[in-house]
Amino acid sequence: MNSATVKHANHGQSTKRPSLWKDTWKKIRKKKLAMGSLYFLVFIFLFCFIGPFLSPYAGQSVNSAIINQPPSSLHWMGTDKFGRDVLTRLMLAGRISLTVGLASMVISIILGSALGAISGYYRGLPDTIIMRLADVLMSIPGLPLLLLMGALLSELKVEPEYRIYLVMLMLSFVGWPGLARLVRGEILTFREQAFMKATEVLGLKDRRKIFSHLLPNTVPLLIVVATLNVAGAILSESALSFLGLGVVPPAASWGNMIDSANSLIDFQQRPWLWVPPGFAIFLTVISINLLGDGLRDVLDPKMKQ
Amino acid sequence: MATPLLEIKDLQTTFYTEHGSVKASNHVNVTVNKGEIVCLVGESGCGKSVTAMSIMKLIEAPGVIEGGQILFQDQDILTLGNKALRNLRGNDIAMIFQEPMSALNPVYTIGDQMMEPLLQHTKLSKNEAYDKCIELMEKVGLSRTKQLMKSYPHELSGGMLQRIMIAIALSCDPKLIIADEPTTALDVTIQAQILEILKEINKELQTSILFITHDLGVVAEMADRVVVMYAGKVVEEGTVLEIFKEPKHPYTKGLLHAKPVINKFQERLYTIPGQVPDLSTLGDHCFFQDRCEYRMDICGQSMPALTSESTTHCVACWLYKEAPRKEGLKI
Amino acid sequence: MTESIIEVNGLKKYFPIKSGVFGQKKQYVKAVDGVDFIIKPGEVFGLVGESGSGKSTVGHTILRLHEKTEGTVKFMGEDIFGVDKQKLRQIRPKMQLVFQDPYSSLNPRMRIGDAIGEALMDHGLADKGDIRDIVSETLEKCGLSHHYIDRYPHEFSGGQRQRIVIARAMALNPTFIVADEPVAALDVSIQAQIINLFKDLQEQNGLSYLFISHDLSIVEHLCTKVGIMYLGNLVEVADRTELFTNPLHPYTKALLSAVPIPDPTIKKERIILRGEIPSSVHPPSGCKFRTRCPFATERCAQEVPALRDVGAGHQVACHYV
Repeated sequence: MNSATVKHANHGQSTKRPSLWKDTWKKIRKKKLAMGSLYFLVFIFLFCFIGPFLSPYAGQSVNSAIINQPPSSLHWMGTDKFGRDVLTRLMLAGRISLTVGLASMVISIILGSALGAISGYYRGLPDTIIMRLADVLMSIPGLPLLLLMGALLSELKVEPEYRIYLVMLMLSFVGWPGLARLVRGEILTFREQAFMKATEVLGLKDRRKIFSHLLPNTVPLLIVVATLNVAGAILSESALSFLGLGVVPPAASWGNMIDSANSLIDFQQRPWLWVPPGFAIFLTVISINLLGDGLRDVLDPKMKQ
Repeated sequence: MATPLLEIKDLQTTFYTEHGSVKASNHVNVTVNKGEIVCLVGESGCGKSVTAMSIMKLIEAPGVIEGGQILFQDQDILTLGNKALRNLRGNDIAMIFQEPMSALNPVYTIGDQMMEPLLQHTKLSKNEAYDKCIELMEKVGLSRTKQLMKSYPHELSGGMLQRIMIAIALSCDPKLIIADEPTTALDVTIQAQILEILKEINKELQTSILFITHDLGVVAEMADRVVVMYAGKVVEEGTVLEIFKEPKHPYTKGLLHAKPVINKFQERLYTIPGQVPDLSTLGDHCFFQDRCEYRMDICGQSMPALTSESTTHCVACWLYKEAPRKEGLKI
Repeated sequence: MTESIIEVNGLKKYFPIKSGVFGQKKQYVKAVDGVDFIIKPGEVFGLVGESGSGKSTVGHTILRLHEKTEGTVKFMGEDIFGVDKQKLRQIRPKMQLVFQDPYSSLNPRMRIGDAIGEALMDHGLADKGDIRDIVSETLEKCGLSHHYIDRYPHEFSGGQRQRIVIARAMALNPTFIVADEPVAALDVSIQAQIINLFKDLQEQNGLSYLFISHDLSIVEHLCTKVGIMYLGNLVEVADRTELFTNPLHPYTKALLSAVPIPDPTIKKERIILRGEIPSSVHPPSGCKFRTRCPFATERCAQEVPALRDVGAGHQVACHYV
């Protein structure tokens, strides 16, 4: 076959290749639950990232005159024990919690899938090194490790603003080994399939074999793990902050806002302090999971249009 | 005069999938007489296996047997209770599958699995059952039988396992054996052995065999009568000579042409164009019409019924109906 | 100018298996145990055998999908096992493989257009802008509408998928294709379509095939030369007409007689072979076929028969021919 003649013989015949994004968008619009979740997440993002600019209050300004006020027309969600507006703090806290969740998910997905793919595809020495490292990390219980690292951060007197980034790194560091193992397992089964033999016969480059053939087949797994990871990271950040080891006041996160439930009197008589952040965590985590579920279905080419 | 042993009457088995309902057996009629080998031929998805499974009431969800009768010795199997059905399955009707490996349990010895139905369905003692097994194994051409009784399925080859399956099928002297593609997974030299055994059983014991296959060579070798299925319907039925020497339905003709035959070299093989249709989207017309080279207008409008061409030969095709013939169509 | 596309000499492929509780005893499955043959330009070489004969292993080893145990394979004069990885990658597009199972040989998450075109891109064999046109053209050549280009594999039937797999190979403009039981998983009416496609492509492009099959009737229809394999060895090689009209080896004869003929009026003499194919871990001594051969003698147990020419390129490995 002569490619030059082909080009002329065939000119104008072929159509444009449909884009994956458009395709996915078209299909996901039909999924009510996933769309609902998507709308809610967009709302939460706008709420957290735009909202503070519209608020007349600053998140950290202390005003002893208005401490512990219940919700009113001035302070829709009341004020806390330093007289700060809870609604404004909720928005600012959301910024941190969402950033921590998403960033640590992205880092651990990249780390986990790349290391898992390398160890599953090449096997041998790289596999041994990566998997033993993962084994070591997995054999250390996660929460105590985070507690230790949190305590270390406190000991080193890290600035509250930087602490957040370190928390993210800590979370992804604990998050990748499980994912790497799952990806490796998937890759090991896929690499034995006939279509991988076909890529060998076609003489494709290793990079294409891994990124165009093996990894796309792990997408359903990655999405499920990614959504669980975001949720998990938001929850662990909350847990750490709740224990005073993650994001520390005066910076706010949903977790350290719930911290107020620690005091009996706040828990019993000032629900406006801990109910809003609680609901924010709950709804965000659920929406992310539902959206992930929808995405996984939609990205399966076997799904009926 | 032949007496019918098994009569499938107007069987309708439908599978309800998420892509629509699939009529896998669409008003199917098949009769198997005593001592006869009937071959059910068709391509994958034509409903031949579903029809066979319906006989044993082995259809599982999402499949439903929606209508029709399956008369075995004038008794309708579809109305039988579980106990009577179990009795029938073990005693009167036996089944041989395509994959003998998956039909045997890997953790029990061949001996255990052969003796089990004997101990359950007959009044033989353990020793008698053992002797009977040895006898059956010799009948199907196995040697070193005592050693085989102690071995596990994975230690044997596909051909040997299929012989074991036949021996198990024979153990309760069935009147009918349903063989679902029993040689498809085997090599030709082993296939020849298995076909020989089945023919011997049919001759010696007068056991009827309903033989399901897609291989026309095997059909020519085995069958007394042939039923050709396409897209869930019987399109032609006749004696083996009628089907191979005077095929009527364009699909039967096409199948016979499309198969390359040894020592009959052709420059180009005849092909039936197109694909088997999607069974969930069929309307009221001949299911073969889009692939048929004799297509007429009526084929796209209405479904031809199975009509007799002779006492033994039936075909479902508009070419052989009165009306179009009068219009002077070439056949 | 080289005279042969493929030249196989003394090819052996043993697969190690471990036995014993701790895997201490190493044994070998002798899948291919010394095979020689030549495929000339434009020739369609049919490799026939039953399961376990090693015919697929020959096909895959020729393409260096496994490393060999012994012997040489030359593709257009180049030693396939003597080149480095980079060079091998360059040769790859010229020698392609069509698989038995069209379902698993296509990546379920890749549009067929991408599957057919990606190797062109990866090897830099065409401009990026032309690839879609080349793929469309190849699809049409293989009997599929170019409108299918953006569909996923699961939207196709088995026969259509096999066309896609063939198109994927053809897009690279190969000179040699190994077809490993390409129609075994298809229905009769679809088989004929695919066989005709193979034939057309061969005639239009002057391709050479190694066509691996267990079905003698298909091999007779498509191949110009036929080799019969038994337990890792070739037992008979001859031109098509010669082999089918004048088979010499007892195994070939038995194989031919075992193929059922779709004509109930022909009642032929059938040679029914005894027993099963022996294990390729412990093959019989001497002639490997002797345990099932109706004519075996003392000599067959002791001497290995060599594949020798009995005239007009008809080769056979039997002491009594």
